Amino acid sequence: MVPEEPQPSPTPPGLSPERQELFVRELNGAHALLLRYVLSLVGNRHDAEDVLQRASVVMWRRFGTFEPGTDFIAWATTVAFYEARNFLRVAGRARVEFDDELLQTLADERAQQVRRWPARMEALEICVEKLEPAQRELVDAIYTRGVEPAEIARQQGRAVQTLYNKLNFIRRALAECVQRQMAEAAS
Amino acid sequence: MNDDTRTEWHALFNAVLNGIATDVEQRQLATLLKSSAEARQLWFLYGDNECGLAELNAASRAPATVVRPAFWTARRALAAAAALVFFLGLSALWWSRRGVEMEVLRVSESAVGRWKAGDTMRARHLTWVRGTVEMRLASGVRLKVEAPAVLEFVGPMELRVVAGKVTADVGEAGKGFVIETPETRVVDLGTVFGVDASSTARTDVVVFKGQVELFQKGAKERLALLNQGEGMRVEKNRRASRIVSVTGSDESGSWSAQERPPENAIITAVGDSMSANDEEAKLWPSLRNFYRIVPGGLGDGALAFADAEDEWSNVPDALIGADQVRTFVVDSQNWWMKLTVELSRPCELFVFVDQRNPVPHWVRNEFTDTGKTVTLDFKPSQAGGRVAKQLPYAIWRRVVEKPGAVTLGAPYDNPPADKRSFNPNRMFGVAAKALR
Repeated sequence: MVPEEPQPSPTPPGLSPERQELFVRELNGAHALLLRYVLSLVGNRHDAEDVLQRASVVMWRRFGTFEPGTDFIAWATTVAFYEARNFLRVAGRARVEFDDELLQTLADERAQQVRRWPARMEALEICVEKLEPAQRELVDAIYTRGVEPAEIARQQGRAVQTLYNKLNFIRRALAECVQRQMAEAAS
Repeated sequence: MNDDTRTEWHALFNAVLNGIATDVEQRQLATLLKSSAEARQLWFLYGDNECGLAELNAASRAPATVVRPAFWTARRALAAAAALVFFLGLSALWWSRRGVEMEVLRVSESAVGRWKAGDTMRARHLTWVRGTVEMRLASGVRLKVEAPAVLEFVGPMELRVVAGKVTADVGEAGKGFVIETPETRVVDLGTVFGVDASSTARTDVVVFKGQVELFQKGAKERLALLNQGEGMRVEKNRRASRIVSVTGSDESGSWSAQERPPENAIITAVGDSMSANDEEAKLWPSLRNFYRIVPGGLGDGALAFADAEDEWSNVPDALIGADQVRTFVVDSQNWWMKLTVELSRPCELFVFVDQRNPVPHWVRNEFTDTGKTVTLDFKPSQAGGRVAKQLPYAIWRRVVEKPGAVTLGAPYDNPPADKRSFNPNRMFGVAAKALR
């Protein structure tokens, strides 16, 4: 279960240099995990980045209430959960229609499952190597260089749906490949 | 799950990730995720891959000298506990394709990490724990940032500072550059200015050159137009107050308006009678002026005042390297002020007094004329950076045997009955040197 929402502190306590360092260390270490956690709740990587940025500010301000030695990820996912829920409640921003019940279900299951992300990352790395050069180029353009599919379509003189179809095929191929890799590793 | 069902799920997830899902598809996704644990697991995997592709490609494309994305460090950290050492150095929190292009100009030794001068990168969020990093944005704005820093580059002309101390030199191209902190929004009007958000309770804003507009966070009405040599502190409870003194050398470019002075400083704080009483302060335009304490800063070419371009020259050898207080010019007409200097150790305390006017009684009574002078190179703004006059200032000396506060007076003893009898001089100078 997601714990009760932490209440904002009107005057955040000052953080010692050691506590500031601890915050950066903890957040840095947990960032990749938290981004995946939030993405599951908001359905889009860029929305997830924005939500996590806002959550990071809240964490910074409330870090005085975090007890060193306890589970930072559990604490941080709680903060991120409420930021994601607030994001989804603002009409017109969200790209998914998740009600509170579904959000709670996703959060509960994801909070545990997401800790296994490094193994999936290793598998993904292997699977990306298996893509065709043209597929890797498309992944690179969209995920690294930040080129919008519509722009690539324009440059190539193709319909944008053609680009989406290619991208969809790649995503599915990678998902199935990672599933196979994970199953092999577990057997 | 048969193949058709599997295909439907993949299509639904892709539509959402592409940002083109219809309302019907969005509802279908919600229904599916509510009803199927297996679908939720696949949804999670799609999320992992979506993040992973961005991180993987960023890592594979990044030059060896450029900061790796967070996942890179996290994976190595999981592989080896020793990787924790890395976290104490400089590292990027994450990369975003919507980040801002920048070039690293300098990295302090204490910012041990993977950046070095000359690196270029694109980043939106940066965090590091120790040390100082200087960078130049694509907009031409130069930033010097002291850790612990939590930054978001909203765009080439806007920086959000969650924590950290930033000195910005915006140049001509960077006019309009904005720095936002949890308490303030600072809009540059062509200047060099500093923003210190290293405390979670307040933000300090100081202007070293030019002019900025200062707003409280979320407010439409401007809190202040700050000019060179002026600064304000805005606290979490929205209380705003004058910053009385700023400590820091020009060479390092570092500065602080906090209470804790550098360990080697002889002059540790400066205050005046205009900061204690709000009613009194309202009467004077000096409300927002700060004194600049520069440890070891006195020498030929040293700026004489915090709010002007005048410089000291012909500084006697014995005074070169002394701690210096840059007073501010607007006080030069003030005949009732008291200025208090906090000294950390026994020292020689010096004041520089304009020779053209009567020597104030507090100088005559408590100091000894050394018979030497220092020259004020008078550079009024209308002179376009040229020296308009060279004014000799007499150097008066006093030995202070014990650490503590020393109170100084005003440049004039009394209100001038006939202003024409006084030359419109500048404020006096203050310096201190440790006793041998």
